[in-house]
Amino acid sequence: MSAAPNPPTSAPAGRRRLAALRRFARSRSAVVGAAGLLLLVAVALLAPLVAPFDPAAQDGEPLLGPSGAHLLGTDQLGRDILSRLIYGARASLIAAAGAAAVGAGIGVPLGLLAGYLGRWVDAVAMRLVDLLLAVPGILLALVMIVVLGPGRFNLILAIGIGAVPEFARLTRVATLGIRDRDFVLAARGMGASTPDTMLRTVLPNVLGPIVIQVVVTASMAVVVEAGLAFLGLGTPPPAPSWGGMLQDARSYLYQSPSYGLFPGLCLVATVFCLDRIGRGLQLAVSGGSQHLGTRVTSGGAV
Amino acid sequence: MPVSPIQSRLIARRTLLRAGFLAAGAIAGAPLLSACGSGSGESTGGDGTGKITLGTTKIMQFDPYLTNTDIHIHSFYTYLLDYPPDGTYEPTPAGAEKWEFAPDHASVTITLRQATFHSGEPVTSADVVAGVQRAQDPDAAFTLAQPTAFIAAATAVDERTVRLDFKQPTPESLVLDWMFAFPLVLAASNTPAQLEHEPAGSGPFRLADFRRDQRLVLEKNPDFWDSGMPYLDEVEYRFFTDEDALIAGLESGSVDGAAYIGFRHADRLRDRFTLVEGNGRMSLFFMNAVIPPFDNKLLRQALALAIDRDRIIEQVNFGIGDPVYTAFMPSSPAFDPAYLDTGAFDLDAAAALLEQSGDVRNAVAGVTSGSPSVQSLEIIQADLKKIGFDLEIAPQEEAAYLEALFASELQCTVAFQPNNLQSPSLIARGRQMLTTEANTTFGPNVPPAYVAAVAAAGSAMTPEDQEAAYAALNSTLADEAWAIGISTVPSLFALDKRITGLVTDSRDFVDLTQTKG
Repeated sequence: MSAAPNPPTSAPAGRRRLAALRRFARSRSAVVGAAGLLLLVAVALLAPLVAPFDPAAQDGEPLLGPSGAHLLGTDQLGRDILSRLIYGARASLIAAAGAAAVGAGIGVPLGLLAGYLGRWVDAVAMRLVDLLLAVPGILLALVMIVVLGPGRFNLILAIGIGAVPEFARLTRVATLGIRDRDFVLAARGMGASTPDTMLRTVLPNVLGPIVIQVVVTASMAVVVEAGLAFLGLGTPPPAPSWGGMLQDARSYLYQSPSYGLFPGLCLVATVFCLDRIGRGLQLAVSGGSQHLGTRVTSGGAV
Repeated sequence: MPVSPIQSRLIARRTLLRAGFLAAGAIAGAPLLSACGSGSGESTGGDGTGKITLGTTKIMQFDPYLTNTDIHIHSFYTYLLDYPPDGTYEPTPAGAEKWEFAPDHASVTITLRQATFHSGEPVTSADVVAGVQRAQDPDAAFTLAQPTAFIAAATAVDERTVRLDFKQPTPESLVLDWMFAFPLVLAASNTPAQLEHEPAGSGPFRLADFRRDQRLVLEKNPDFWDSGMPYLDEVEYRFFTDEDALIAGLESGSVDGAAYIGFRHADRLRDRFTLVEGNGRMSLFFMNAVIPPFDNKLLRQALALAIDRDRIIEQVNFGIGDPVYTAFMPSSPAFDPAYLDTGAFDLDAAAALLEQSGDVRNAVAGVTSGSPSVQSLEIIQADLKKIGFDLEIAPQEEAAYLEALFASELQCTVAFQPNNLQSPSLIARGRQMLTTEANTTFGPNVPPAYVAAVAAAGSAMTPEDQEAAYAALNSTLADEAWAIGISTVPSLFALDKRITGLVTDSRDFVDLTQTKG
């Protein structure tokens, strides 16, 4: 790992964070991405206030085009497309955040244990990861949804578990890179226990690439969630989701060409924002260098 | 020369723009090139030489006793008689040259037409006897077992004459419906194991080639009993994994027709292709009386009043189809339009009944994900929400859905029911929700009134008795309220404009005998 470790005795944390923020802000596209994501999160959080209609209310004429009453038109059951897009943002963002949390929540401890303890722990953990890597992420998610049944929690679990290998391997590599460094040895020499050393000395110094991986996984989760919803395995109706809207719109391309355009654009915009944020974080973490030693990956899921 | 970061970015943008223009050009040019190419006569579709290629997404096998798959079976087999494709029930001789009922209607004597199977062996009365025996075994013939239940014995009188003795005097209409659905199969091959891979019929086409999930090729049967038929020399079915791929194949010219497609494609294809509507099936809302909450009859009756048939037809079926109240098509003698008034969509009445039914206010509906039934359920769901009932929709993968359906694990669902022809008692055929012995919605406790009504409908001889029996059957279905009709669902075919004569029979089986390409 070329990213310099940050032992507790280095420059004050506040100044370091500010420097990282400055590096992040140097990338205009990253700032645009962050602003876009913030807007999206705000819209999703304020959906009941922002959405002009109840997303499940079938009150309008079906398949209306954009108009004053329905800014983006209505779907095949007369529901307001704009309202469904706004509420659909919640589904996408929850899936993104949830999947990243599940992936990191399992993968990071696994990688940390494997990297720090080594020997048989490493062997067992990595074989588990290999097992997960052997199955394509989207297939794994599909099988899990079929077995567990559709639902938001199962969806998050399915996507998140698919992301575990990337987190585990990334954390393991980063841990291997610093576990024999002086500041870690010093912590151990001063009597810190193994868990304490792992959590308080090693983990803070491998967080950089993990944070980037969180963003990459979130971006991937948005796409996979839409893909599963497109296949009819997303959140059950009438809950709106962009992938589900795309699937519905596919049936009405001839009658309402604009219907499928909007959820597609939302997906593109969200993934773009996350991608740009990931790029900005990469610059911030790598100290301005264009290359980051520990490479983040979107894995085999998409 | 060193390149500054700004220059580098500009160069990258220029490169990006250049690549974008090239890509846009390629995208714009591709359809033009393909349009030029389509005129070269390289299309694999038919060209008027007597061969057509049809695309389908349906899975196929060749056993007419075990299939509800309808696209190819009629091509392989001859049935004892035919009905016209217009949905009426005027019988015309087919495999049977003539038939004569005993004056007491306790038997019928059938004279078979002189014909040969595809293997070259003659069609004999022994084949009919063997076929009847197999049809009486529900495990070996689930589609024919209940319709054959009225037959006590089948006897070969001579080489081409067979007599069927009934258990009791039986209405002609029921016997004719049975003859219409009874295929002539070579006795030596009439087992599920043999028919699974190879048909053994005497129909207008015979099997030329079959590669599972790829293609099925039928060739003209030169020894078909109806001389001059069929018109086509060859029919090829191509398998597509999903309907959109099938439609894309049709539009690109790789197939000449698309079979059993969704209504959503109708508008898009209407101007360029001939759309053919088949007789189709019915969609029904089923509630499982075996498990809560629908073991509560009042609750079932309440929900039966919350089904907005007109809206489902308009928004899900694109205006195609007619409303039905029970599992009887408008062409059925048991179809009673009065029930569409008394059981019409009425949320106030539904709310009042719901109030009486108790405290349960939620249920889960199983459905195959991505099917039009999801949208029907969404409409029902939204209406039920207005009266305080929460219907959760749980889409499943098709195999999991069917498994749960047959295991009686679904609380409710929207599913299809085939046409019952002119014999309302055939409502109880099959193996799912409307059988009289044990079905997936009542288990072994099928309401006795329903069992009696089906039996009466199957044995009523005079018009007055039939009218009374059909009324009792409708009344029971309405009262028990577990199978609520929504609408007819005609089948839809999109065909190249040069293809004519493709029809479906009353069961919605494709008949290619008079098809020209």
